[in-house]
Amino acid sequence: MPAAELTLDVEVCSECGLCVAVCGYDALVLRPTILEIIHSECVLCDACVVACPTEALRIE
Amino acid sequence: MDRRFDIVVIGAGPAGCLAALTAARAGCRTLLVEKHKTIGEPLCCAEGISFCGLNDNIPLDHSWIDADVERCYLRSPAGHELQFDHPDAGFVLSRRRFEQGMADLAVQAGCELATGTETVGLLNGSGERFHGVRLLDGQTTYDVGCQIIIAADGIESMVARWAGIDTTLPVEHLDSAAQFLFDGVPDLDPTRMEFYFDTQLAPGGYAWVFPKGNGIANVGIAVAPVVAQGRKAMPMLREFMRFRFGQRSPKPLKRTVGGIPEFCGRKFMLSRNVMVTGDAARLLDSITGAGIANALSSGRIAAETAVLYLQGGRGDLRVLKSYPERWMALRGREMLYFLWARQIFLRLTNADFDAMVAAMAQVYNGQTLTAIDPIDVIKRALRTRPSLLRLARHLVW
Ligand SMILES: Cc1cc2nc3c(=O)[nH]c(=O)nc-3n(C[C@H](O)[C@H](O)[C@H](O)COP(=O)(O)OP(=O)(O)OC[C@H]3O[C@@H](n4cnc5c(N)ncnc54)[C@H](O)[C@@H]3O)c2cc1C
Ligand code: SF4
Ligand code: SF4
Repeated sequence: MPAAELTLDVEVCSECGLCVAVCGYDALVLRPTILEIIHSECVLCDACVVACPTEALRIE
Repeated sequence: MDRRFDIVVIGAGPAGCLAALTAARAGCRTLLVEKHKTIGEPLCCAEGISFCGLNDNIPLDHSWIDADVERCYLRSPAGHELQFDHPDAGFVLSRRRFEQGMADLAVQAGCELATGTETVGLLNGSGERFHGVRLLDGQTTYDVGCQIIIAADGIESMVARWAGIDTTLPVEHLDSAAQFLFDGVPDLDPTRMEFYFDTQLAPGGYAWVFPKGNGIANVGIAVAPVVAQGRKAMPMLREFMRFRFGQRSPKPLKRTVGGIPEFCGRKFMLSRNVMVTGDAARLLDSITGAGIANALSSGRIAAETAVLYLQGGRGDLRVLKSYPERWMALRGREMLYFLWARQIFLRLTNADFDAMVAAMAQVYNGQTLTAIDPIDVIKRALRTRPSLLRLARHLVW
């Protein structure tokens, strides 16, 4: 089984930046038209998945 | 270093636009940087602001207003209703026109505006201060020097983090929100704000309908993930729409989501020569989630303080400390009170909401109120429920 990873559904994300505010590992950056995930920094703590108001982020 | 400015303002939301306007009018060489090509897009905001929240910070221009609010309506879970007239309550803005309007005024006053330009880092200087910012314009990276950096980069702020402030927001300390912009909203009173309280419909928050003229309205919901047990704002908004509109669903023009951080006091407002304003410093009202007025006042006061530093106290960074002090003196007491009240709000049951709205309706229904002191309203609401008064006494601010 491949290692789990944080994934983004770009169709669902509306670039609100809430996930960036809750990430304590600087693993998310809201670029002008897309949320960038820096996988090497992400510790899969789930905080952004819980905070996101919609179902744009998943750990799978 | 490609260019030098006195002040670089990062983010053209309400905080950044008013900071840039204030600085430029005082004669400072000012650069306002916005990562999006268009100011005010994308946006997730219900756009409500009180008369004073706007006019105390910048003289009102009617072209910024979509609707004049004269009436408020609150509904409890069992259907108790409270409605009162409040002729000077405030406005529903067009934030796109508002922020573009302020940016235009700033440019007229001599500010340089760089849209479509992202700030990607701060330039480390002597250790005591940052010497400028690194910008990315499409594919080109360049550096700009400055004396003062005003961070107005919203909830997603990186500037404060680069300046060494850990603004990480615990999930317990935020609301998660969703909103539709609708055309053809049934039963819409064009001068009335509607608020719906129900722990099933909007756990830890509330739902709203804010009119924007011509049958258009912002319809949204905020929920606290800490009490929502995994339910998300967007699907809950769809449930609220079925509740509010039944089968007569209006036409959605836009669908957005957003976050509302709890107030964090003064602790994120200043680091070296970086002044942090608005949502970047988490300066929102923790009961209503309103942040525009605080963004305006913090942007304005940060810029006024920066001007003092540049004109008189250059070299002495202690001058900048009066920014958090002045802002807290203006807004701190009320914001800390709301933060405390939120801890009670999160514990309210539907029976509490029913009793409070029913009791308040007896006093206020059909009345015309000229001035409302929000702290007084919270106190009155609490007094209607002795169990809540006991809880309130046990909670420390
Ligand atoms: C659903 C919802 C409803 C709301 N309703 C209301 C309401 O009715 N009334 C109210 O008062 N408040 C409301 N708020 C809160 C309000 O939207 C915010 O408090 C307000 O927008 C904060 O303004 P700001 O200037 O601090 O930040 P923002 O308005 O977020 O502006 C920040 C700007 O900085 C830019 N930026 C970010 N990073 C960079 C970078 N690296 N480089 C360049 N530019 C950058 C962004 O693109 C953005 O334009 C609501 C919030 C939500 C989520
Ligand atoms: S899972 Fe945790 S570490 Fe990874 S991006 Fe989300 S909040 Fe950051
Ligand atoms: S919180 Fe969700 S919708 Fe908002 S930027 Fe992050 S992934 Fe996108």
